[in-house]
Amino acid sequence: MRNRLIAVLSAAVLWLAGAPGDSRAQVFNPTQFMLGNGMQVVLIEDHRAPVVHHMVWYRVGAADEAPGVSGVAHYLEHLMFKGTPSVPPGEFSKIVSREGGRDNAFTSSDYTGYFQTIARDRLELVMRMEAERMSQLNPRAADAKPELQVVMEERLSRTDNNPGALFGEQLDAAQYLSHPYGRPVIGWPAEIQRLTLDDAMTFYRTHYAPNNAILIVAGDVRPAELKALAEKYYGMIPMRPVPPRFRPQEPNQLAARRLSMTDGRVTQPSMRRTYLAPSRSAGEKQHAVPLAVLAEILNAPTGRLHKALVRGDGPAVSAGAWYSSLSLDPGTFGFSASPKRGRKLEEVEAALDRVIADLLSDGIGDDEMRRARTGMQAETVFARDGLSGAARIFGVALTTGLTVEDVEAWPRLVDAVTRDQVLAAARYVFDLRRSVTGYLLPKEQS
Amino acid sequence: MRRILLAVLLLCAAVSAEAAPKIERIKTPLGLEVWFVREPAIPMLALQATWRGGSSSDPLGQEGLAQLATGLLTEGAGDLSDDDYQTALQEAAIAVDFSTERDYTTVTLRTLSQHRNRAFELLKLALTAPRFDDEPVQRIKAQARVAYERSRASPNALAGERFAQLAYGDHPYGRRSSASADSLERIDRAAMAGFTRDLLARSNLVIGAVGDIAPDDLARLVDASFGALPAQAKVALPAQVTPKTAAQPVVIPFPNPQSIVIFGAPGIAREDPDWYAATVLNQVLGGGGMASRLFEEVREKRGLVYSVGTQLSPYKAASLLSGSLATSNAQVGDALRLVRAELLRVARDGITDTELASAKSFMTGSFPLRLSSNAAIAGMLVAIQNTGLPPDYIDAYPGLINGVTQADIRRVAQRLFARDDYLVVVVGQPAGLGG
Repeated sequence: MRNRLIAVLSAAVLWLAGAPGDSRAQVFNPTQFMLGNGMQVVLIEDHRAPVVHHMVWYRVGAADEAPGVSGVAHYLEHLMFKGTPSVPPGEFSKIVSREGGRDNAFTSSDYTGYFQTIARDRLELVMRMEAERMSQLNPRAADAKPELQVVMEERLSRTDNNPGALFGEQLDAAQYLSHPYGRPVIGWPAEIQRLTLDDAMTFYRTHYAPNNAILIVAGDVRPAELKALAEKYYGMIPMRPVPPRFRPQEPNQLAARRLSMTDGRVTQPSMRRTYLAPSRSAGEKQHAVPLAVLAEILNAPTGRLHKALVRGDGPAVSAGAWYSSLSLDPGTFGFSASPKRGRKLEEVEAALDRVIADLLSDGIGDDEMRRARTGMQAETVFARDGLSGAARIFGVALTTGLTVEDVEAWPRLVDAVTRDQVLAAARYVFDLRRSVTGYLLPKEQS
Repeated sequence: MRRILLAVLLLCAAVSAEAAPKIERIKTPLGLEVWFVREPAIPMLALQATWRGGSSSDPLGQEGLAQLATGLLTEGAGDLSDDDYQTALQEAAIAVDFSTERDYTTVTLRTLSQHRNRAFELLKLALTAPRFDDEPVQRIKAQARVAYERSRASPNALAGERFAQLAYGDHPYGRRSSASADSLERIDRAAMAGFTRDLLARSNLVIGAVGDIAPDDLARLVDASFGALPAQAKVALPAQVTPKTAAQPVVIPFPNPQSIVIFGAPGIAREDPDWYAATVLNQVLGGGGMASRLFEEVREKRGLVYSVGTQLSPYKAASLLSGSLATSNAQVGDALRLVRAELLRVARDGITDTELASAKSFMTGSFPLRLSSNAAIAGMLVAIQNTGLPPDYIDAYPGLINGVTQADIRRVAQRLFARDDYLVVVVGQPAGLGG
């Protein structure tokens, strides 16, 4: 799972890769411009309601952390609510709320984001506060310490209380031999516990600069108005040198990895298989859009994966495939499945292997291609319904090496994908030497 | 610092739910009513419909019947097998999804404008000619069986289930809404077919729709799909019940490092004159996310939790006030004492004028944020009808909230929080709960 989002209160749903309607049309028709200090700005106008969704994204995430301080990107995200010269610790969200708005933040491997949804006449207020914490964050040690405990409680809730999530960490760690995508976004427990305010502030001073940030606004505001406000609040923050995003890259992966984990809390076994996979920004990029089409094909409720594994006499109660074409470095193409009662994980895995083998030998049918395209093109229309979805797509794309034009090109790219390209992408990715297969099992009955 | 805060307070009065969507009440030729908002910006249609009656109408011993039966409506209908039906949805990128809660069964439909005729045809088949063929029935039951086994290992599911049993006893609200290993044995094709026939009628139906369509066309499509339903629903609805409280916390031992805590007590009915005051009070206390008192005291100051909150749940047959938190096992006693102290403090001292003003400002100002997609507006249209409110409710809402006074807050705070006998269920290995 490449885009592991950690939100302060709730993780928002990510529009995985896809988007919009008529293949000649633009999707969101955004306006984009650059401030004098190098801060990128994207506006997606939507005048249906007098509301704006205001986001600032930083091109930095957990995979940009130094070894030994895993979790510092996410800890800093929490500390961003702990005080600036004019907004006391803990007041940021209260002010937004008092003004009728909602706010939150999230951290992933590739990016960190902060957002507010609020009436359009409050846009200036939240821009002023967000700009202030971009350059003048000043948390007190007395507030930073309990917040680290909050992060530990968050880790317990999300991961340690959940055997499936713990197993996911182990699988990710096995998938990546060198790249920091193998580390959990929230951090390893022993490393979280050792984090200090100084660690977080060092990370802040290194990475939080206007030239490393993107302002994305969706909603009821005109370009000229936004430009004036952006120049007034963000434009006055000086540009600073930011280190290049240099991450250790994967060596050739030569050995299929298999893991199994037993946990007394597990009642039903499950399996997961991931393959290292290129994205639109990294690796054999030409395979990325075909892989997104392939994931759509495989996830169809009556598609070949469900027919073989779940429907009729299939051995599984559930099965799914996932892939995101948006990540700064190569991500994964994944499968998961759980057996029916009385059926074995080995049988489920064998059925999955047959689905993949048949795909590689016979290729994709015209019906499968047509249905996948229909679904993906429709999603691009539905994605325009709602403010946050569009803003989030641009945020993820722009922090993972793509451009506004790349996002808008999506329907054309999807339309142009051929059966041969899907087959070539599948043949490239489904190589067991670059895979991890994991079984999560209940404790043996004694 | 002071300058900005003052400016913020002065601005509050100006926040309002301006530009509410224009709601049309459409009467179809067959006499069905649809609340409709025309939204031409995107070539799509979002529709939501509910039927009164859900999992609390499951017969004793057949828990999960409503969920299973409604889940199978899109797994084969009319001439279409399960595979054919699902493929037909996919061919036109149509979503038809049924879901069931305690009091209501809901269908949501989402389609591009160009495929709306097909969408309503498929909806009609699901509503009036579901097949309940053996293969999908066995498949969905196998899934339910595994989901049940999984829920035995989910602390949140265990906590919720025990809480409902203790709060509602023998009342249908005390039973599971999803199937158990036992109830699955007693749910067959005949039970599912009978249940949906009794439930999906016109007498208990409410519809909301938002999209790029002319009212006449919408009326015609609604008649073509919903018009074929029987006039009168025949499902049993449960009697009124008051949630029980308890003197001592109930602990379900579970080998997790962090305990899940849920607590509750009688709440307040949606029709109660003090409903709006109660929602304002709850906003201040624990409903306001990162701006609430509990968040401040338990998380911000002491770092005891990641999440903590309270909510008011006005079910049709019961009114519940409830809250939840999760904290490391060693801290459960401390966290729970803090929460109890805050609940008593609000009963004793009420809230400050600033808190009252902030909560009102949030509630009136954030109301339009809930209306930012077609699907969300369709859901709101249905909820307003199910609550028995008029179409101008969205416009009236700010006035209802701004009309709440400190006297109202004190009265409702006494009524809801002057107690220490919350029903508390803890799943984990908690310390510090005393005797």
